[in-house]
Amino acid sequence: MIPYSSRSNYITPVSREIADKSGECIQLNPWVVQNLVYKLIQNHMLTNDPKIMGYTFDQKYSLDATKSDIDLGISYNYKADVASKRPAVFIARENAELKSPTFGQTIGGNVAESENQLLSLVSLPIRVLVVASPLGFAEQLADYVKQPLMYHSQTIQRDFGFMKFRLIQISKPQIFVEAKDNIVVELILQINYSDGWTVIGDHLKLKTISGAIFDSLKAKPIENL
Amino acid sequence: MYNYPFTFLSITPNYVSGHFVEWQLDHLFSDDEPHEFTVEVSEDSNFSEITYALPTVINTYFAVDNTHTKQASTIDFFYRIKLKTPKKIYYSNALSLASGSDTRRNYLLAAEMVRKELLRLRKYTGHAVYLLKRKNFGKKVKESLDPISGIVITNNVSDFGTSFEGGYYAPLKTLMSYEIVKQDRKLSEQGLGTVESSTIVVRMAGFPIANPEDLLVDSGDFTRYRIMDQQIKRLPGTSLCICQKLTIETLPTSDISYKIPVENYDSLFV
Repeated sequence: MIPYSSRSNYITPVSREIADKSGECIQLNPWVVQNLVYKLIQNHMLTNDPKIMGYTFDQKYSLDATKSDIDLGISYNYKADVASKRPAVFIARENAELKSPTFGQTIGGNVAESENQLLSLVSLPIRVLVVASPLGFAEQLADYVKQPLMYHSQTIQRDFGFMKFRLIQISKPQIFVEAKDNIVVELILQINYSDGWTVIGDHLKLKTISGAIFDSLKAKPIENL
Repeated sequence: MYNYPFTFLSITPNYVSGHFVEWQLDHLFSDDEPHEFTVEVSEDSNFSEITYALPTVINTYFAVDNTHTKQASTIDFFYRIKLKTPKKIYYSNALSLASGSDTRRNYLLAAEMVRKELLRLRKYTGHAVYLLKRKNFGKKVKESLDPISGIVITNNVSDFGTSFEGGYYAPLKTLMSYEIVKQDRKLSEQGLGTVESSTIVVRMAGFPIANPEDLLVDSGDFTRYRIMDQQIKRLPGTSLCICQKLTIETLPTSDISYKIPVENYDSLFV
């Protein structure tokens, strides 16, 4: 098996340019996309003080877990030492659906080099779960977290090479009965990206064969070569 | 304008530390603070003559009659609460220790059970906790409220998510005994992180009445518990609350209630 080229992921000129500049790019998969959303929300909460943005709540996020008032995490990640904090923001992914719009997933190839370029289109909903208490605070916190995902979706889409990055739903508040009746508001993102790869076979290289047809009795083809 | 803002009144005999009188006001009661409460005691249910009055307490929900005047079961005293606000003076209905009892014998039986319950807690099973009663009326923190709907939109230290200034009354040190403790830590099926769920059943004396949404604070490690469910046991034929069984759950350490200062308050059972 010949390893595929990670750069083949980036099919748009813009993203290919970014990849070339950085010299390194990320192979997108559902786990990576989920972590990118985590990082985007983390950067937003670190750099944008809710008070300055006009929200009335005091809670702030900090990288120091002991000082942070808001927990940020990936869903289904068990913490052995301490239970999750509240208020909190969790990122969970849904089923990633793969579609191949072309015959045999092929989008191109180079027969001479035994290269076969393939592509799959991935549709991945990501759920951002905002949990807090009481209701008004949960709604405010959800609005605060929503900001980069909604207002900067075009920039995120371009910079990370997504085909689509949209906030498509802000769910109704739901009760989450724990030690306290917390309210959960879900922000649902629809992210589409392409997962492309190139398979390079080790077939024998094709040899060039040429021929000439002579239709004149007078011609001296060998002398003309 | 309210003529009678009291929604709950209770008195529990305690011949050692003093009879415990508590009250609740309607959550829509909006007279400005200070709310000055004076418990008046009379031998006459019409209060034609006030025998004595307890020292005035401000912006709280209970008073303790530790005058030790009523020690004989044959003497009847009546209590009423006088509420003075900048706007008006209100009087509660009269209540007595034996009110609600079918017979004096029933009252004495219930009072003895209350005493035994206190003895059990004080001598054997009691664990010191602070009760944080959630405010249900008072001055609202305007900054915490949605300007349109008026519902609380923060969980800040100004009101701790209750919308009322301070959020909770001053901590009251009392005793409880752990009856059932079941704790579990696992991943939330909804993807909401590691959840520490606990079901703890505790038993408290019949006073102060602890309502769902009130908090208990362990006096040892200061863990905060929220009261989920309350069961009150009364002796049939009386209105005396003998004991309370409370289902409580541990609050996560990031909960805003951990910022409520709790230290060095007098115990009810000294």
